[in-house]
Amino acid sequence: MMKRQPTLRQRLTFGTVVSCWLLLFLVPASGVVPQLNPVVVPDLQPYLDLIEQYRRGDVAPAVETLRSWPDTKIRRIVIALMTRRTPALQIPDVPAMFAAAMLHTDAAFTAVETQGSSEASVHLRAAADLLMWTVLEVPDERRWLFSRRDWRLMVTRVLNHYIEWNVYESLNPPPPARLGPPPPGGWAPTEMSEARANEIIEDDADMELAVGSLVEGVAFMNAQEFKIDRDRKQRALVLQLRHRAERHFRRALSLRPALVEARLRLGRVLLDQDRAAEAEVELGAVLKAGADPRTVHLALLFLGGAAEQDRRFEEATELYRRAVDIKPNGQAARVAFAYASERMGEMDRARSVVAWFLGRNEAQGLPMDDWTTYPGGQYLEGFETLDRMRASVVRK
Amino acid sequence: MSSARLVAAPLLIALASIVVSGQQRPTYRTGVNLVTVDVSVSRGGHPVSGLGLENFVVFDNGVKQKPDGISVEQVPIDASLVLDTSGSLAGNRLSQLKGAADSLLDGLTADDRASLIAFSHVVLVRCPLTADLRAVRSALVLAESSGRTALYDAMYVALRLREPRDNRAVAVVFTDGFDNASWLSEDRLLDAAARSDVIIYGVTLGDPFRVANVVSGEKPPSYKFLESATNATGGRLFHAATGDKLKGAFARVLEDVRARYVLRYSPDTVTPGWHTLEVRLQQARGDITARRGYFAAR
Repeated sequence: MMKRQPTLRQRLTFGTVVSCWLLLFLVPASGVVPQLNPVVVPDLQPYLDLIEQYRRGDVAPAVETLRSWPDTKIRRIVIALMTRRTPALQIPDVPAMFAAAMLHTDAAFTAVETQGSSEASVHLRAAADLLMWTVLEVPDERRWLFSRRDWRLMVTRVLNHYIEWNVYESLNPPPPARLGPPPPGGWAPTEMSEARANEIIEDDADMELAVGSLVEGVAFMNAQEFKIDRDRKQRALVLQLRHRAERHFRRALSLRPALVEARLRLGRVLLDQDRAAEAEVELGAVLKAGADPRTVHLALLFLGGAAEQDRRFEEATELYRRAVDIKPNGQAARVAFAYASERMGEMDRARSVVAWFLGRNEAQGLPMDDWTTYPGGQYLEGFETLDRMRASVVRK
Repeated sequence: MSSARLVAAPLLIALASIVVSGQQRPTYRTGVNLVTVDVSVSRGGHPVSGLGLENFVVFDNGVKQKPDGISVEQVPIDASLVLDTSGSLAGNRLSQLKGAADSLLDGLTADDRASLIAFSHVVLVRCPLTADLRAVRSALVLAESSGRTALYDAMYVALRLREPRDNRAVAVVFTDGFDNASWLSEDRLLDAAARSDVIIYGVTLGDPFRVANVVSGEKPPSYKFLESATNATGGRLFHAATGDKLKGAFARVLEDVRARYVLRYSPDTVTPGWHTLEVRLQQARGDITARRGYFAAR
């Protein structure tokens, strides 16, 4: 018989209290983490110097130095700052702590660029912890929470660009620290991830969209990387991811029905689950919503895909033609239009559509195709926010 | 043109469109159709030469056909180099790839033509099909590596840019990774390849068994995909374990292309739709690769 488990809110409340106790008292007293004073934590001052360097605007050198430090050293310093047991040293002020968080954030994204996922995880975890514990220094809690939410949203969006699910997951601390002791048999994986997600992004349509886009991107990459039809396990994983992405998009829409991108992505993820009829309803609604050219272009492409899936090639061809009309430089739309034409037996048209590639050259500029950028979610907004946040901690 | 010439699918359609203007569908009279099948025979990884008409048996939709012509003459080649220049090719690998492609161009003759399609997530026809191989070389120099990999879309562009001529159309596809940016799926690309008369040769880089799934031992998907594409079109897949072996792999492509046989037969009837082709060897030993079939237009 299934044992009744505590509600999410009960777990979170209990878990937060327990983790505060653990971090403030039990962990330093355990002897595993050194007592904090300049002798035991000799790296603290160099760390504070690095933050100063970062705040002066020497971003790249500061990031480079930080990345050369071992993980254990970073964890030790972060715990020192979190527990604030540093009376002998000047406790850094809140802007400095925020700068430290941004320094780690930049280090994380630099690591991701060089495919250092585990290193990126260490830095993002450090940034998240620093931001969380800075709450003690901020008088206006609501303002603080807003900042933390913005940082989290920014990180999720940027990770979308790299389709880095594992790094994103590392932002979620292990369940015992937050949720208290696990129930007999441990936490169910879905329950655990849901609890983690809700803790951070409860009732936030933008966050639901960002996480959903990331999950969708991971599903896309897995489906491409492994030929899922040949691998049952991989196929199950991809289906699970798509289903999860669908849930995030539906939640986003329930919170903000006018969020057109969530509807576009819901349509796409339904199409990927071979639910063309449902996808067409959502994508049709996107067209009616009078969205921007990029969104309309993608909606037409996906509607074409739905028609193709249903072997309605004539309709697909017309939809793809409209997609090409909206964005004549769209590579994917050209290929889609040509292939659908070919399937209709219109080989001459297929050739003439593809002939466009002969006139394409770098001198004319090669704008990013909307389909190419689609798996990256809202990464552009993410990078813009990253720049703004960095600028806010760097002294003018 | 007194009789429509039947070759593997797309050429059939292409030639028909010369006879029948516009988008009207071509019709073929029975008894006057000629099907040509481009065949490669190898043993121990090397082409087998000196085979004659008596060494081949062709089955068209399971019906045994008697080839009435065979040639191994130097059919001019239209070689499309379809090269992956995505971010993973950065540095030395790209230089090695350029060197290998350049050496393949060295092996072409004055009758041959070549084109260059470089792809990352952007598919770029850096040089259209031309007999001016210097132009192809110049374009090759300019190729830079960056971005993701739209392998299927690039291959589709190569297939559809095929100009309907009697030249032997070959797409030499190089990739070191898997597709992560195409609109077309693998299945659609394979479908398009089956409709085309372009022979796909693949060259991969990296040890396929080292990067194979450690649990199942399966080869990586790009390797599997190129295997399917080359099998479907009668080409071959060559593998370079390291960058410095690329030149050798490209050389083997050209060697294989040059040694291909062209078989001709005239089936009594040609029903519209897909025709399965099977070519077997008799009184000779070797591995045979030929297109799996062709589409006959209505």
